[in-house]
Amino acid sequence: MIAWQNIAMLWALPLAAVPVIIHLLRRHHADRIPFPSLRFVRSAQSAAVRIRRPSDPLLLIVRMAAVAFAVIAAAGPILLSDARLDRWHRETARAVVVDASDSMRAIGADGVTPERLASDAAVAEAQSARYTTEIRSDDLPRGIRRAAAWLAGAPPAKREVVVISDFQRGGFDERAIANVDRNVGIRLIQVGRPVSQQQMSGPDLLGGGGLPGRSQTIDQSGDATGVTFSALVTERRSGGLRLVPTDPSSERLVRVVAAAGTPAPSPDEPIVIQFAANTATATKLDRVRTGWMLRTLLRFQDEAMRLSADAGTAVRQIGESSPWSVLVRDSAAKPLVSAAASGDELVLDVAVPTDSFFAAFVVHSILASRRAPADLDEREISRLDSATLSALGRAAASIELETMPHTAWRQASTDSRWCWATVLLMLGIEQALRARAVTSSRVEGSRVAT
Amino acid sequence: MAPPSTLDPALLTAISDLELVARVTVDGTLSGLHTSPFHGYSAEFSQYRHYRPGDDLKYVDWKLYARTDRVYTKQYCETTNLGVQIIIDASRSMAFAGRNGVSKLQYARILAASLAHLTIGQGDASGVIVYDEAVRHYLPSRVGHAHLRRLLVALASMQAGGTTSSASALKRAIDLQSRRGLLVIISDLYDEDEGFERELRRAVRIGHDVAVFHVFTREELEFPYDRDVQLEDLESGQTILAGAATAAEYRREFADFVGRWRARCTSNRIDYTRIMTDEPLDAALRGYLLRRGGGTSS
Repeated sequence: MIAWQNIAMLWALPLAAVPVIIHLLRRHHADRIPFPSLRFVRSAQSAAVRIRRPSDPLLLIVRMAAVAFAVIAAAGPILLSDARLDRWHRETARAVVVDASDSMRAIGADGVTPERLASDAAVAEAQSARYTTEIRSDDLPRGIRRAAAWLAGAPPAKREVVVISDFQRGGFDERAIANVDRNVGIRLIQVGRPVSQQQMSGPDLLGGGGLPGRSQTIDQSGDATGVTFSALVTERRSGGLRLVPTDPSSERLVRVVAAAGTPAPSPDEPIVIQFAANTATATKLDRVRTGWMLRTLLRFQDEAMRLSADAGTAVRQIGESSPWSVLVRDSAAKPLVSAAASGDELVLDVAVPTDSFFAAFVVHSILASRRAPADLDEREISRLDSATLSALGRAAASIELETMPHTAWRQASTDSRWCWATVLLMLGIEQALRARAVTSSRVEGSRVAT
Repeated sequence: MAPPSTLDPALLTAISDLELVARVTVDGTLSGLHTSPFHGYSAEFSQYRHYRPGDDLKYVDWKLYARTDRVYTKQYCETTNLGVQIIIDASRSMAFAGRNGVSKLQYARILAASLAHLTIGQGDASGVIVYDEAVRHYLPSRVGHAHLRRLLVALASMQAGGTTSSASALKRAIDLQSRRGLLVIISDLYDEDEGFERELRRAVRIGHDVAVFHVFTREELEFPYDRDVQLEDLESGQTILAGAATAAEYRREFADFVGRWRARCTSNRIDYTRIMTDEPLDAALRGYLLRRGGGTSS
């Protein structure tokens, strides 16, 4: 049985007829040569018959064989002998996915980071495979997709994905491996020993309109998580956010937003939100250029785009000609939310009343967007248990030639070298046949001459 | 031992002075030969002279040697000359040149000039007939260097053209040759008809020495076309598609052709010499002269 690396090249096999075509064409375009007498040359009638008959069939066959073998060599034949198949069955192509998320850098109960243990494990896994690659990713599903893509083009061998991670609960599940080919084995190696319990602070929450600002303390122990709220002092509660106009409706708006658990603002990054086109507040406006303002607006725009997808409003990027960058437009293309800078303050102009739902959305979203959400997920100490991981893993299947990805054949070692050697042999024979013809004519001539 | 041949035909044909070419060829040819192979008919005793190496022993006066213990040879007044008529085929087929660029006609021209130079140089008469389908040029056999010049001019000006009719040319030569002499025919002998052979036999029968120089190129002998070619007959203009497939048959038939001419000449006591245009001319001429001097023909 033969497999082909570039089977499309076999379409070029008709090129083996090229010597015959050249043979015929050369006969039709024979050079005209004066000759003293044609009395010993066969007549033109019989020559016409010889047009279709090769003068040296063996030479023609050798030339056709040389071309055919060259085409076959270019197609990359792979002879599927028992020895070769046994070797493939013994070999493994392994893609090692190493978790590179923040949780891997947390010092565990044994005083060692999972990252270091993962590196050692990755080296060991790579050494025991014939073909291997290491993929580091802070997103395991994405890393597994890359591993599957690499395995699809790996040389013929048993295929396996090895995932080395601390496997935090919520960071990995069966969906991550759902698209991996069923013949590809999956092994999940859990590294690191998490601490048994930990305590950490959550983001402060907004206060106002009679509600106090709150701080959060998160306690983790095993699979349980507890949150304790504490009242904030006044300046930490309200500093950094100013609503214009300042009236009872604004107070009510802050109360609503605070009750929704909105993150508290920062006095270092002040935000002014003016409603219903009240533009008299800002004295000197400029375009938004400060880093934190831009990051905040981009995150806010992500939120607004999700909203506008539902509301059917258009969203424009920052960068209009006026100081105001329009972030959200209504269905009539009129600006709903615009942003500008006034000194250290980020100024948002919201063209809706303060008692509207959209006003509450803008206040909540802009405060939530002000800083990146705390990556509390990476602090999770609860992990998938070994039974779950075992259930998700599976052994690599034996090689099935019929289902082998076509890209895998391209990486396999071929038997083209034998075909090229045959081509060279054929060319040598062709030269020898031509030399023999010339020599025989000379010998015959010499015999007559003597 | 004969000296090595150095007279490359390609080199000789590059020399425009035909007299010089003929002299060089003859000098190279006679180097090492003992005597001239051409003998005039002599009758009247003239004088004695001391024997010199190379003199024919039949002219040694052995009685005088017995009396004086010295070797003398007898010399005679020539009363007649050997008449050599060179008959050259100048048909279109003779224009064919081999790889060395020397055509059969060029080769024949130098060969004829050399023979004429050799003949006239030793006091014999020489003439030339150039023919294709008819006799194009005729110079009767004469002696003297002035005649040699005319003969060389005639050879230098001959051009290949027309078809071959050797029989009529030979018949004309025999008719014009009033005395018995030597007829030298230089041709590729492609008009192998009965008339030509009949005239050859007639020439021998009436007492002429006849020598045939069969000139051809190595290409005609080996037919070295390993790819297909359209061969065009130089004389008839006919074309034939030929190639490697026809080569073996051609070679066999050409070998038979050469063999037939050799056998035909030998059986009629005609001196036959096969010459290829890439062979040194002096070597070809030397072979002929040696055979003639030894009284044998191949």
